[in-house]
Amino acid sequence: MRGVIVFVNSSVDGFMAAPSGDLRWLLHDDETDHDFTTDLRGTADTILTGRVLFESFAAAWPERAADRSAPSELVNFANWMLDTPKVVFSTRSPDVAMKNSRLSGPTDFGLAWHKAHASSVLGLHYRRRSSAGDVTRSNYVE
Amino acid sequence: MRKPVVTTFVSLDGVMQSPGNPDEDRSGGFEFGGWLVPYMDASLAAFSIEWIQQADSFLLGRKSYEILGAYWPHVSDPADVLARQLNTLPKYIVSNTLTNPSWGPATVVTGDLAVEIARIKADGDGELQVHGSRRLARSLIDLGLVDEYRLWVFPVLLGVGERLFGDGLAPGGLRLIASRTSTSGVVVHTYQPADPLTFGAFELDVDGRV
Repeated sequence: MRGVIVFVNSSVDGFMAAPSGDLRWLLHDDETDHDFTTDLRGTADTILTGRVLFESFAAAWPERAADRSAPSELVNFANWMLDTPKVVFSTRSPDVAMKNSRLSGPTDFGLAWHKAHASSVLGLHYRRRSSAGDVTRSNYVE
Repeated sequence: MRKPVVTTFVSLDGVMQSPGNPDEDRSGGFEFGGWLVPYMDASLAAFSIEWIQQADSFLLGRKSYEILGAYWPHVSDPADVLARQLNTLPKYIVSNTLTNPSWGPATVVTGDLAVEIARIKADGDGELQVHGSRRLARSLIDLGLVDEYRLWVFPVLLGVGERLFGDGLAPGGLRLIASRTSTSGVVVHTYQPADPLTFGAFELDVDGRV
């Protein structure tokens, strides 16, 4: 049975986003944007995500993967996002046409199934939810 | 000029209530007191000794003063650095009810906190260390009087309890000065306030990187 990794950005006082879903406080550098997530890619073989984050994947990564002018590491990452199986947990019916994507049933059932039916580590892309209940678009390192 | 340094034991979810003993602080029905004890080891003791040697004086709330005062005056080993520092350096206790502090050297601080802290800061050099003292620490944060934080982040999730950085805090940036890890898995971060809080734009394709 494999494990579930929750990969999140957090402020020192434990917030994932401002009440409006604002993420501008996140700081960027090569280490956080690239190196840490490259390590994660070496161990994760499935992405679990909520609907809102998944829809941001679908809007971004197929296009990036096909962009011949993009830096090679960005294209590599975009292809990893396409090739890695993605499971979307949602009670609605989002479009899961993005490569290697599928819609899961209720969260509890889906998680148990995925832990029981594979042998390696599972990466979890956890959508941000503010204290006000708003969900916001974000990047893949959540 | 003394430099106020806030040293706090926190759970990963930010709770600082009753770390060392079940009966330290049961306010709000808190039942998980003593959560740091399983992680106290030689490496954490070494951090404590290193930092308390930098103290010039202590600034404490009444409850923390009383908790520390129930223990340290009875430690007479001259080789115990923690006892020596706590028992001999000036202690300033912020309280409106304490009148006759028995564990000296001690001075009771009342009145306008900002004014009093300014006076205490000007009265020496070195670190004015705040240990525990939740309400006092929060007041200092709100007044912008903290020069440095040493956050001992323990690998526990408590879910309930009083937090160091509770609701209603003014947003602010911090600069990481140092970070070290104990063999028991406690990560100790040293931060200094970095004003103002800066914001970046957050996009999937920021700078063409992932």
